[in-house]
Amino acid sequence: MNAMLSVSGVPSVCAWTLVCERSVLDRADGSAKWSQEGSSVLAAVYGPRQAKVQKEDAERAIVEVVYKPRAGLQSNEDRSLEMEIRGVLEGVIPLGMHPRTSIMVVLQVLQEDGSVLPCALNAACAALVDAGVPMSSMYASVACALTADERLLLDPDAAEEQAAKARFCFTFPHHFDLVKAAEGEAVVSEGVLGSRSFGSFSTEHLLEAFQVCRLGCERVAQFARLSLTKSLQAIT
Amino acid sequence: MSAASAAAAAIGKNFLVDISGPFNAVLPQLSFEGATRRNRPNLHPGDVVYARVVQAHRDTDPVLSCTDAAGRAAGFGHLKEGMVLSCSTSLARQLLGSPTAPVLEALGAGLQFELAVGLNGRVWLAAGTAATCVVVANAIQESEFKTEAQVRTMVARVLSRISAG
Repeated sequence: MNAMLSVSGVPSVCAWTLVCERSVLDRADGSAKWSQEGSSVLAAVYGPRQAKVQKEDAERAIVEVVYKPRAGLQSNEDRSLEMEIRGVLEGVIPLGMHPRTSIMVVLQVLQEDGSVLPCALNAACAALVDAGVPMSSMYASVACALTADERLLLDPDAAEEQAAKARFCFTFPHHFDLVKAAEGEAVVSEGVLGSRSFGSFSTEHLLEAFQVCRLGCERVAQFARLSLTKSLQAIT
Repeated sequence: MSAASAAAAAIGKNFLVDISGPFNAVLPQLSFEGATRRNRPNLHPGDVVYARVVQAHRDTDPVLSCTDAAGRAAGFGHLKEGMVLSCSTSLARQLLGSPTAPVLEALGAGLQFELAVGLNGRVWLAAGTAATCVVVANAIQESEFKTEAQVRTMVARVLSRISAG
């Protein structure tokens, strides 16, 4: 089931389109395809299932991430992204609930036009929800670029990323406050789950990017909830 | 908690059973009504059993039993013939709910079949003909996201097509 939602801009960003399809793959325990503007990532989750004896941990589940680029073999950059994504997932999944198991997340980049890491993280979250893996909260991820003239651009495309002085990717957990609004308002946490930065920037830039990404995550959180609710409703 | 599962192997004094979880569950050979060391249940790999979960600690393999707490069979045990289909645990809970799920009520009014639902998402079905089994299995799968009215309409359409054809 898809839910397409056009989100209108947060300061210094144009409208960007988010699409999320769930249960795309038959054999995976959970899967999701997340698309934002030009980038698209397919995530498949297998688990919790029996871990290999060499890798199993007697007290907690192990999270394995495989990140496959759109073309070519995995590079060191891809392995570094795998570590980042694993860090984020270990932060939200209560690993102690399933000792000796492994939760494997396979991410395949289908299209890339900038902001691929947040797209992959969002796809992983949707796939984990589809698989029914327990999580302490859902999370949303957004990227931001610092241009040469000191402007922050949310969700940069490939050209903007190349031209940027610095790039940031922040991941925030979110929950819904059912008291605040009948529909449920997305409340993005003050603390951050993951942050990845590249390039040269000052502390002020980092903190400003943090705030801007946090606002961007609210939109992603609203969309994720809308998409999930629609996929679970009876087809009328 | 009940589970329909497939027996894997007899290891020592236990059967290993697949309950569609990360690990196989353990079903002691003596956990059947009237089982003694001389008189063991005759289960082979691929057999389906209806059992209840006695122990499900996160650190150990789950332990099953085919008797209730007093040692009687109470509907548990080897399920002979029939077919097994997999569904989501939420659909399994709907089928096990009370009052009876509308799809089962509607199907039961028109067809004869036997059904065992496990909370782990496995459903065992047996009926007079294979065609009836398939009809019931498809109807159950289709009913997951439908409202009660839609389910009744669907089952009515299916039953009328059977009686016509």
